Amino acid sequence: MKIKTIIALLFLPGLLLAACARTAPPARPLVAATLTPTTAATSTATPQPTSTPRPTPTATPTPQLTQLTTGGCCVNPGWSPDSRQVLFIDKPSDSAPAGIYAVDILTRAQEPPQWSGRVGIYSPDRSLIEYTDNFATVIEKPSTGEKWAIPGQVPVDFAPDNQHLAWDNDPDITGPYDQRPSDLYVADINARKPVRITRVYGGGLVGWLPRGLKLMYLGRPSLDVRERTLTVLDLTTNVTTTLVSTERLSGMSVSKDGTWLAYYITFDADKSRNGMWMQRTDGSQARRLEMWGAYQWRDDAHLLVIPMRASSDKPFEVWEVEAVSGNSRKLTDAATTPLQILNGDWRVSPDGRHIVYVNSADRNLWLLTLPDQ
Amino acid sequence: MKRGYRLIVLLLLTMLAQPAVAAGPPRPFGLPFADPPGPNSWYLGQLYGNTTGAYNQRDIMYHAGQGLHFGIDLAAPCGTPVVAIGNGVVAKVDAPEHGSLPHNLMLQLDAGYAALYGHLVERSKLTVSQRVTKGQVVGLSGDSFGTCHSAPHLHLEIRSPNYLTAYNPITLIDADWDSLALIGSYQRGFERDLADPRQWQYPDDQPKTQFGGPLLNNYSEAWPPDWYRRR
Repeated sequence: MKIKTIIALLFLPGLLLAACARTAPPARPLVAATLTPTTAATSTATPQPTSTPRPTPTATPTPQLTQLTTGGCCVNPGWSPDSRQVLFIDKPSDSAPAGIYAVDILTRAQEPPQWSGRVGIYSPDRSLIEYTDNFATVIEKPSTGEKWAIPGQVPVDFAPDNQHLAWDNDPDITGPYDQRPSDLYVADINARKPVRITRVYGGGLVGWLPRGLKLMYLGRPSLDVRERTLTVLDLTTNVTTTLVSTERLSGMSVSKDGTWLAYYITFDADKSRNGMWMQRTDGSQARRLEMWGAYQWRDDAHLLVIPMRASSDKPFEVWEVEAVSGNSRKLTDAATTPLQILNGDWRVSPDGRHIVYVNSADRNLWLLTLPDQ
Repeated sequence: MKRGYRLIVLLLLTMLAQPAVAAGPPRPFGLPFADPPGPNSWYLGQLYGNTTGAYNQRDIMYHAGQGLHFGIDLAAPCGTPVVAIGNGVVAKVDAPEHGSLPHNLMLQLDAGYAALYGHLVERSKLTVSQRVTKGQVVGLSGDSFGTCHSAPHLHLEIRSPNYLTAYNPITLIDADWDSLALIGSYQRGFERDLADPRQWQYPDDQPKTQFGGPLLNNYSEAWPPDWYRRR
């Protein structure tokens, strides 16, 4: 699969629904249009395994499971910014419009899911929506009806300030994935005077960090280099930070304040590197975890992990890893919380108190309320 | 009596508040790798069916398969031994008419299906008509671009004995698919027809593929958008 597609899919649920949960940072000067591309790295931290405390079970109150939808509805859920509503794409009847529907996690029993908006990618403050029309990417401001097109038909990523865009263009989409060039661009929200930031091979744009004007991208800096490098570029200072280099890097996920990053390294010749990693986005404190499974950030510094299980007879368990110390604790117990997740389809609420997931038993959306931190 | 009634009500309420466990039909086949999944061995890549990846390439790579991904992709380093998913006979070695180059292998399985192992790194050492047993090494995984650096994975198809129909492997291979799906799930979305967004959205609810049949997912309004479609 195309790396850019993978990256787009990786961020899709967030882009579609949960991106609106981001907190808009203070306004920044418009810097993108005057940026001078650079490749100078100021940090070249390369993760080396450090000792990680082994997971230790911790007694907690039994978390609650609550059914949210019926009738085999739905998949790829997201959250409203206030963590009150679970959002998902649906068309609940032949006469109903396709769109984003919402179920209130407090009043779910009283009313069916309600229409919440058209399908599209929303800006962090939900003031703009992105979609395709007539072979073009269009950004629309629903409050005024104003709309404009982006050069080329590409998915664009809204910056957390709601004033900038980033995207990548593949001049050549033929040939092996790891050799395909990808040009990264930034522009103001109107896409005027886009500036090419850099070219990478076998990669592309990962996304904006949640705060400031920092772009994360992945790829081989040249065809002479086998490893892909994960880089953060601060557009306000024009400084790049190299986070990690390896051939197969995936699953990049940034904590809610942008301080921490989690990712997978797989199939590296140095087997001690393979696994799940946490690292600060300034390049420091890389740590490999003693777990193998799915993860999402609960807040600025706590990662929720659902390890692969030894047997399908057992429900999944949710663990929490504290980023700074690496300490972990079990939040749910398979013996008392029958958590069954279909297709890895789960999403943490912005306030970190809930997980919505597709229950593999009945294919409805269920809510897991986590113990307090 | 009253106490017993309360207990029954409590029990029923508890049962209602807990998701039921689904039981599916028997699955006759095993996984094509002997080792367990992990960051050094293999993990689930693209599923079978109406995947976003196949949708985006419905006019090109997957056109002959009705716009569906007609197998499953399991990411693995080049050279990982792959094993027979069931007892059977070698039907073809390196059959380019079935795609999945640079090397492939077709088995006729005793259970009444055929299995195609695609993108092998080298020609299988097996010969046509040779019997294989479930779990026996039949080849080495490779890369769809032949580089071992681009997209190293095994592409596995389960077909009808006449090769004209492909079935969803996860409905036929006995494995903990919910657990396997935890890793790399960002690659695993299914394309939505906004006229019927609930159609084909679960890994085990996907249409079979009739090779040469019409596209099943040429949607007028789809999500995610086909960003890469050109005039």
